[in-house]
Amino acid sequence: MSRLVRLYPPAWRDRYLDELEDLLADRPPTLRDRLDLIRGAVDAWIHPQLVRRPARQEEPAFSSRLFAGVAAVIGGGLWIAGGLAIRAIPRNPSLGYKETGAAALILVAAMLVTALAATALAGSVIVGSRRVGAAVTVMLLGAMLTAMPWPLLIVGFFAYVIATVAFGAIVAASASRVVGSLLAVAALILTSFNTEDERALIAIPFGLAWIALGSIAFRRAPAVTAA
Amino acid sequence: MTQPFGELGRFAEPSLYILVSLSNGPKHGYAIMTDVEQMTGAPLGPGTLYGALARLERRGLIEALEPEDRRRPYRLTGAGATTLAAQLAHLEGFVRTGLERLGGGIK
Repeated sequence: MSRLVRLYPPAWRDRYLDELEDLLADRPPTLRDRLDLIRGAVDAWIHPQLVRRPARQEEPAFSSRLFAGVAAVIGGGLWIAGGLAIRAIPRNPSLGYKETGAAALILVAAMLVTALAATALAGSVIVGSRRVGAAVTVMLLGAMLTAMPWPLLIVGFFAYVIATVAFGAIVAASASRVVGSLLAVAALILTSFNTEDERALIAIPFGLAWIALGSIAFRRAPAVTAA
Repeated sequence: MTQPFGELGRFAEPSLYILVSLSNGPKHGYAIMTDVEQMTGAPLGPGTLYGALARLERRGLIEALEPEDRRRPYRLTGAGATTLAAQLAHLEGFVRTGLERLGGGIK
């Protein structure tokens, strides 16, 4: 059961974890309760409803931003590593294309981790925007689809990229103009990504943009509300 | 469900149940769940309960009291009592209209 509770955002857990665990100890959850908890966790990420209490808000908010920042930096690093790894793979002469294999999996992991970072950012650095919720949801779904076979993989990739452009624009408008713009532009350029040639290196500026985005999550500035 | 509950989406109905449950005194999460289940006959899921509690607290309709061990009781605020009274009055009017129309149709 604790695994399901861990699906909730860190700030939410800081506020409600004790009493929710106590409740679940009194009332062992049914399958329906478990599904309800999963639905509640998704809602908590997309629509943070925490009461703002100056004396208590700082620590939970910072733990949430810390998670977002670490995930963004790791995700950005995975993008860079994946791009470099794919660039280094030689083309298979008999097939006429590269067998990307494990390197492609690094990029799938990069998409999932950065989507999680965006979700955490949406609950900490940028709060209260429905557009943020929609962007991170599409980003997450797109990232998950890239783990599927063709053509879902391509659909997922472009959904992820378009949602990242939107997310970058929201960050630019509400948290950091420079970093948000950098992410949006890098995501637009990523539409030219190709595993077969030098364009695999386009993953590098995109990864750097995520690392830069991670840096704003570490700031101890209060959460801002997107339009 | 009408304003201000309408903006709560799927949490509107559970929020009303919670306010009614708290109207006769503070309760913690498990007590609210049990009370709501007794009142409505339908269980309130833990994710829905805390989603609704967070929204009600955010809007100042309920407030959290100091925890007792790991349990934190909640109580209705003045604004919560006013909102609940208005909501119940609205529902009462709705029910009365429905019953009157139903009675007229039967005649």
